[in-house]
Amino acid sequence: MKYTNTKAILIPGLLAVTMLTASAAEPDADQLLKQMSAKLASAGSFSFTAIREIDAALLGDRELPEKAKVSVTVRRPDKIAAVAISHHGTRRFVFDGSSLVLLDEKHNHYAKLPMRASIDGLVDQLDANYGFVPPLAEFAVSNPYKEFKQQARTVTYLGKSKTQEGLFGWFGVECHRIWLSGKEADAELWIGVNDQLPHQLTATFHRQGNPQLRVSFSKWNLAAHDDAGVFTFTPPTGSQQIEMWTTAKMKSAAKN
Amino acid sequence: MKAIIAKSHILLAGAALLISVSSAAGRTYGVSAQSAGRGTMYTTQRGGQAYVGPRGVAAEGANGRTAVATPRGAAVAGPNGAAVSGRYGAAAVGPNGGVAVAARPLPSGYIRTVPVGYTTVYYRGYNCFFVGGIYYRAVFYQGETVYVVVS
Repeated sequence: MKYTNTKAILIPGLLAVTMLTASAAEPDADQLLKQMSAKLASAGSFSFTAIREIDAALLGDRELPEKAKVSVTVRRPDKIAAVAISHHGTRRFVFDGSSLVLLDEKHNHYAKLPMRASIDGLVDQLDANYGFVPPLAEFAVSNPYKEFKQQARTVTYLGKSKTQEGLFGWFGVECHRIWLSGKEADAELWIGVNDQLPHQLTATFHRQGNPQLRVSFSKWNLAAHDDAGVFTFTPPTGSQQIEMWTTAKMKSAAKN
Repeated sequence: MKAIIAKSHILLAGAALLISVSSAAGRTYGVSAQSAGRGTMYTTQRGGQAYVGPRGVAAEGANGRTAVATPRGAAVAGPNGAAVSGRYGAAAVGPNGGVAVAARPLPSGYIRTVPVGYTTVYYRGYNCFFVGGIYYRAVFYQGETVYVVVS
């Protein structure tokens, strides 16, 4: 009888201690986001590759690829180049601090806009005037933490998991999973335990059907050597230069 | 008859035009807040179906009659024929094969794909695609290639 009573006291006690220990050891999600952002912000020159999948419901009447392999090269503060390859073709995006070029390889035409700005300025101008931003630009801006916090009201820690990379996931990366709860979307961001870099992002939008954006990152290189050629554009043979229209211009044309 | 077909092409090209444009009103993980959501499908007990989306409605009755309405026009099809009316004109097909088309002025806005059967020509300083009596030229819009009418 005495033994039973002791057990009844010990088990809840042990459980309470275990829970307290676990709670004390749980990483601060906001701190993890800050660390990741600081690491990206301090990298003067870096590159990465990502597989980006967007549900059709997020595309509106646009024909953005459902699934694209995106390669991004950044040289702070004012250079970014991206290549997006999908079954619709290949599009290149080159910004060298003074001009922006968009190339549609499938149709072999390009647009060139004079634009003297930083990467942040480019993203803001494109978003405001042209209705789009460079692929995965939130990871290339000077303050990724600020960018994420604009989209997330709360940040909470979910736990650790391993990404599924390589055969049977053998080359998976152990990550902290954090939850970003926002007005437009909730997102789960996986940050590497060892490298503090983003490895996965899944954003679920508060729209009918809960459409998602899924991004899997790979080939992070924070010691990318300056390859000036990446930010230099030479028009391909036989290519044709066309205009890039602002949303205001298209709106005006649609009214006529 | 050729004239009717040509006019039909104009009408169809016009009907295909996507005139709604979105302005950037903030981004969330690179996705525009303006991208339209998808609609909802309804099914009635009598076998009819209706789809209500952000850009209009479509319905099919159990008897096979269909109808669609958007801000840009409407179409109906029944056992005795079909009719469509849009911003750029109207067309009707009767049960005996009769066709009537009334075209309106050239469309505005943009299309994602140039209608089939085009020829490439140089027109008013642009390399254009000419089809159905309309000249289209390529421009980038929201980071993608679209085609606008050269007027």
